[in-house]
Amino acid sequence: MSSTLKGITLKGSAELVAEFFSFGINSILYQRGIYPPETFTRVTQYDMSLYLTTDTKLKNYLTNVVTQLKDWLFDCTVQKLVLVITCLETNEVLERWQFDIECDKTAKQSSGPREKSIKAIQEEIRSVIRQVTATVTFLPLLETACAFDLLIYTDKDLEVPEKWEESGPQTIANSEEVRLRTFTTTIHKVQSMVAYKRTDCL
Amino acid sequence: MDAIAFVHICAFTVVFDQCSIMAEGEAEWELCKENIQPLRQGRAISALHQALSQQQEGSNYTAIQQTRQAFESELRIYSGDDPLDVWDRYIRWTQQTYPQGGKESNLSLLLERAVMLFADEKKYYNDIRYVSLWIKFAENSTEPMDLYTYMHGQGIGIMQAAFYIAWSEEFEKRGNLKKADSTYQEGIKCGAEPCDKLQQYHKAFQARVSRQVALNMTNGGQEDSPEPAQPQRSSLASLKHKGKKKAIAPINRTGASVSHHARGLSLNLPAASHHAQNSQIMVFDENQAAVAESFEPKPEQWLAPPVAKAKENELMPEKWSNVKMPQKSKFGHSMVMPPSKPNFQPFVEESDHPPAVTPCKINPAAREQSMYCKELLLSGATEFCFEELRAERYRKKLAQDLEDKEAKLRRVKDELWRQIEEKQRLLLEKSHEADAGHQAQHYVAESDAIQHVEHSLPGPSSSVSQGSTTGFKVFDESVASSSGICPLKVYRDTDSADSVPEPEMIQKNEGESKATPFTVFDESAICEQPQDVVPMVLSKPSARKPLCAIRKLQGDALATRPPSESDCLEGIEPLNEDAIIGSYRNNTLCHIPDDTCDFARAAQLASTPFSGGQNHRLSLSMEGGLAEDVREAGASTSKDVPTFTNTQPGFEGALRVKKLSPIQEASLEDGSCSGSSVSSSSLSGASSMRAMNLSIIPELGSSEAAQNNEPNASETEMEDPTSEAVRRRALEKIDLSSFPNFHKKTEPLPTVNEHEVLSTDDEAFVILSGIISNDSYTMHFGQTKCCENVVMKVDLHPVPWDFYIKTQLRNRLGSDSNKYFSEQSRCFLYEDGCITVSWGHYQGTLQECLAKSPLPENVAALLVIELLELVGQMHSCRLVHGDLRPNTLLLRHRTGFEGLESALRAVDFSHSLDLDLQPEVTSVLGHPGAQVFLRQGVLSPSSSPYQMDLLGIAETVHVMLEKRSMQLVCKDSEWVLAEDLEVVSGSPDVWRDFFSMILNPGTRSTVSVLSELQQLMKKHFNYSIEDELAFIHE
Repeated sequence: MSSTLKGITLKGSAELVAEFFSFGINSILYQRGIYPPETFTRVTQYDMSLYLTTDTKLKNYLTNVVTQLKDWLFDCTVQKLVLVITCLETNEVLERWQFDIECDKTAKQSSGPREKSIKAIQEEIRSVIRQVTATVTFLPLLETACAFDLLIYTDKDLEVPEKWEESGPQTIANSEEVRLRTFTTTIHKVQSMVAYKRTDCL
Repeated sequence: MDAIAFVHICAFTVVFDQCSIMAEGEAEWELCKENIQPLRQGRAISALHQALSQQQEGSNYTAIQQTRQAFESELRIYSGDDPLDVWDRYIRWTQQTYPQGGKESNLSLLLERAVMLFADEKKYYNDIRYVSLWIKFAENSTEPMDLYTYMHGQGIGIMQAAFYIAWSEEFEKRGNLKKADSTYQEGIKCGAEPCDKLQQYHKAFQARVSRQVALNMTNGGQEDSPEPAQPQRSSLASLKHKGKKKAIAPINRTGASVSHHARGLSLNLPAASHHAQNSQIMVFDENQAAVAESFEPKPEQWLAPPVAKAKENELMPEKWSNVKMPQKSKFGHSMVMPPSKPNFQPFVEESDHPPAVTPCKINPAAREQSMYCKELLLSGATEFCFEELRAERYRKKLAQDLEDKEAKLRRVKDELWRQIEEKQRLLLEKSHEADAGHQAQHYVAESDAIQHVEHSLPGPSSSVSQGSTTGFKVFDESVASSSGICPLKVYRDTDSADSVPEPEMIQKNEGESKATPFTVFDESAICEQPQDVVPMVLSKPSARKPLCAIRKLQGDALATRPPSESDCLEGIEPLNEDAIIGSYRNNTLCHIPDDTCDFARAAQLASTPFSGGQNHRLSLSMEGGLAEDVREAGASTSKDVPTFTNTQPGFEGALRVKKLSPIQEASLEDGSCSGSSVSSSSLSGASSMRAMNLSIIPELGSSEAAQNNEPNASETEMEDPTSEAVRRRALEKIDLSSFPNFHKKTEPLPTVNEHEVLSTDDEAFVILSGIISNDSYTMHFGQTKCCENVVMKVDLHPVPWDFYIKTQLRNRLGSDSNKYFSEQSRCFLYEDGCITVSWGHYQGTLQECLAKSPLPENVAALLVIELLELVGQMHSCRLVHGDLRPNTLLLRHRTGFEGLESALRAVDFSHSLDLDLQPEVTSVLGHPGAQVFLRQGVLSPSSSPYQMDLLGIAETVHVMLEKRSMQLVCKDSEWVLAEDLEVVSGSPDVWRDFFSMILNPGTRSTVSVLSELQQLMKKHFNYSIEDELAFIHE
């Protein structure tokens, strides 16, 4: 990924998007308190401070997922990434962060870079992460101990790699859905959305 | 390559669009995120959007106010056994609707009221809703600890885990971990429910504490570890620590900002860690020990709940050691001032007066009892007035009635179906019996009814399924049997075929409907009878009869108006004072009529010229000179009037009739008949007379129409552009079913009678008084189930022209259309008619308003300006109203919210033209509204259809000012009023200019004429809308 170049290639795009997911997932895990906050460390990325986990197990897990994701992004075979937050005790799905990924498959054939500066893309990513942070204004408090799960939707004929298993969609019944911002590298477009259990208010 | 590039550009634009939508709509909450208080249970995003958009533009303001008002009134009129429910919902709604809390949310007031209201209701003490109200109240108060101890002392929530969790978290927030832990333990010991939740929280709490301790142990040596949670305030505290005092930084500096959330960002600054960092061994923390000590003395029993907020007029405890006695040494001796008198005048509420110990007051405990329901007026967050309470009760009653009626209808429907099935079963049995040769014979022997049933319903099995799916409709069909199409017709036929020869007759004839076996529907007839007792009312139809011959359109409207006017008693809410006084009724006072209805009735009987009679005379004289030929008749009648002034007003109209044409003589007959019925005032005679009158009207109308059309036909072959056939053809070009709110039904038009319920599939309307009715359509005021006011137009032709015009107005004018045309309308198209419902609350037609009181000149001017603008708006989008009269314009009911809304509205578009859709209409020729003017010569056969509306305005304005129709003469090739305006005093010149301009538009476009007229009026009448409308509202 050469930041001196103006354009963006498929490889660069895959890397950028994977990087976004790495920071984004960490950010959500921190914001929603899935892991204790003291297990996170602060780094500066996209001109803002973000939190990355220091828990080695979690780190490994995320690295694995993101690396795999990067491959799929490069192949343009990934459709969605979903972060599901479930109650540890009842296994009930409480929150569902969904990132729809649209891949421009024509980028595989044409090798020329696209016209979009990294700066502009990072600007978009920043606003997505900011919005994710701001969702505490309406998300319900997670009052129980929670676990999380990552689901990746890919094209059908893809073989499932080792340690991955097929899973259901894990949707929330009676949920409230809020669309968040979108960013695009012109090759990959990521649209974010969060769904949460609807409150029993009027 | 080119193709690919193109695709990329497309993809990019799509993205851009979505981004911009995001930025506009969805990011609202993000822009205000700092002002949104997070809620434990989260927020509904829709409520959040609504609340935030309300802030931005204030458009939803009224919606929110209405919901709040609904809650407020529900608080007061709730009569079930769970009053807490309303409060609970109200408070939860408030939390969602006012994301930033704040004063206008009234949240703390509501919480306090709710909590105190049920403080004596032991049954709620362990109700989770009540307990959570207390917890919310505590979280909102300045001293939550006091409230928790009070709750504990009173036993509120001691069986609820939520209480212990909240209390313990409060302790934790203040750094008192010991107490926090013991609170959890106490809760578990008490067996608070749900137990597992409490244990889970306890575990989480212990985990937090131990993790914190462990963290501090490991981090103890390395102060400068890159711990992100390094609280800034601890460094300030340590600075202080070095001073003389051994105190550390005040706990509350971080305490308040530290959330008790189990996880999340907030844990960066938990108070516990803060202390632990200052002194590594928690147990010996001096400050904490002090805190613990302060709770040592068992709190005494609270006598009253602690206050939530620091109220005014309270002196806070302060240090006394430095307070000096003021010394006055001027004369060498000291004066002792009374100690610590506040230097302000304390505000004492009247009710707070301590009982003055005077000899006469024997029992100070006997509280003053107000003679009205003070609690009800003041109970919510806002104050109510009596009328609001009364209105609420009235609405409740109305809704109840509606429900009852529906239930009743449903029962009847079920009964009918049962009968049908029974008959079918019989039929089947019979046919089985007669399976051999004489099947035909048996059929003949069967009654008509059964045959019809068989025809209409293909088979027993299908009939059952039909019954279960069609719901109300089936019943409606049977009601609509009067229109003669429905399959159930047989039921009526067998019983009443002899009495009802013509289906159309029945429709008009409410009295006859009694003859049908559906006795349940007699309500309308029954409720009309008592009103018919008033003899004056009866004379009205006959008195108006001459007019129906004069103008086809108005004839029926007037003839059928009397019932609606006499119905006004029905509409009066019996103002039983119980509604507001309740148990406070003072029996010692002299007898007061309980019921305003009684009073109204008595007043009607006591005063001879009941307003109705006057009313009709006015309208009579107004209509009198509308047409030129009729004007002569009018003149002759006015000559005759003095002769008859001493006769009974009821006969007056009948006598006038003699001067008129043969057609009117037909009406003389029944006019005199009803006169006789007045004298006999027999009940049955009255109702049957009415029935006769009604049935004659269509004939009159049609013969008159035929007469009108004759000269036209000889003159030209021009087709009437408002006729059913033309419109049907025009609408064929358009796919109406694609319009929103358009519902097509494959069933005949249901009958629409006053005070009955009209059910469509998702909504039911109660028909209130009628406005206009003639042989092609009727208009009624109505109400929906949720008491929204509507105007319903029932067309007897299946051409939804009104709906089309309304939709076009909305489409072409956009939001501008809201000013003069109702915002919302729905249309139900039936096989032989259609019903158009438009929302809006109206006082009545302009004509009714005029009849009640004369309009001052400036009010008239205001209405004229509005009228001009209304017509201007229509013309600007190439629509012609075609029938502007005081009769077709409605005055809005003012509710107080709409400062900018207009007073006038146009609702009836029966004579409208859409010149976009009907480009072939280039002149007024053929339009029924123009015929009178054509004959006079005011309009020429080549005049543009728009000019019809100018004349309509002129006519309306003239009636408004002078209460009579205008008469025109041609002077120097200009049309002027035949007589000078009499009533106008202030600015006759303006009105003269107005009429000369509007009557002689020349070839200019009507839009420019109208705007010029508007400027003219505005220049001379600088009005304030509020003042003028206030007048109309009276």
